[in-house]
Amino acid sequence: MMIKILAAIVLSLGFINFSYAQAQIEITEGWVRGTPPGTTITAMYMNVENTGDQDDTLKSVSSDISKSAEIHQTSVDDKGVAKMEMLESVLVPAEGSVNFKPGGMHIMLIDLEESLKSGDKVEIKLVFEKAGQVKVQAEVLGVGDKPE
Amino acid sequence: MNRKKIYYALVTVLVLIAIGWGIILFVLFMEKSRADFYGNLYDKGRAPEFSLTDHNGNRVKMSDFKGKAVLLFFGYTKCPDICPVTMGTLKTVTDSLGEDSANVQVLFITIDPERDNQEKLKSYVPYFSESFIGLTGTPEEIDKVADDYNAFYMKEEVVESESGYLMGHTSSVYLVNPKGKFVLRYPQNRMDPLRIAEDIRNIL
Ligand SMILES: [Cu+2]
Repeated sequence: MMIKILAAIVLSLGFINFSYAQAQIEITEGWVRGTPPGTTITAMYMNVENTGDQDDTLKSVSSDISKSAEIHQTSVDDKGVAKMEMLESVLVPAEGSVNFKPGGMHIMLIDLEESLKSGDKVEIKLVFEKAGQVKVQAEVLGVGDKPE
Repeated sequence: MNRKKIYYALVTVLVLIAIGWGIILFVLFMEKSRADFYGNLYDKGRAPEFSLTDHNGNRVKMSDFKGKAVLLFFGYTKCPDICPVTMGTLKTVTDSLGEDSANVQVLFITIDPERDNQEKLKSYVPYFSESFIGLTGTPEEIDKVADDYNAFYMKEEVVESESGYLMGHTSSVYLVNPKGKFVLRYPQNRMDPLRIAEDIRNIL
């Protein structure tokens, strides 16, 4: 009896811990840019919110629809020259959020298996240092879209 | 005799005052029209002539578009972020111009001629709008156009990136008036399509 109660306590504690870790990172507004025929590269955008009280870090990204995926940052200098660079990781501060949006940070999907049409759904896997793997269902929008 | 002198002096003074006012009003008017544009003034004279290959394989010159307002953008099709966003914005611009869009030509000039051949542009540029024209050429031709238009581009080797090479490039859109002269420039932080359309209506 005693053992059963203890086991229940341990299990429930474990469950609480587990659900707490899951709730730390929330992804909203995930979307992927559709591609013109023949284009094998595109970008995914989203809002990453950290509802926990500890900083977390996005460490890697992947997707079944492309051979590889990378975290990129677009920046435009004062001469109007736009560049992209690859980021190793992205810090998501405690009780803060990071917005991936056109002209800024994005998940670059490289070597797509097929072109993406508006209305398709795509799954992206994100791996965070503390929250672990988080799956995102992202909707494919039109190629020239830029939702406000 | 004295009266005549006074009369001439008076007329001279009045004429000078009128000229002075004229200058002041002219300057005020220029300031006003200057401030009325949403885009940044880009007073660089005639848009240089070029000869490039369009996405249907025809040779095309800048002077072919005389009589139309031209929106000019330098980019490349393997660009997943800035280029499609800008092309989408230009599509909204031409859509919102309605009938006036017949007098507007959007040109997409690739700065990645090694990968962006005619077929590549054909599947990319008209996908945004049937009326848009994609232009490519030999690396030398593209080099010259970019140079003439003060557009900058460079290959970027992103260490360990799987995407092959990426390009850094001028991301502003240039507006050329129907007489073939540069008028305005839109940097990436001035990309409100409705206000760009308003500028175009004002120069047509
Ligand atoms: Cu990128």
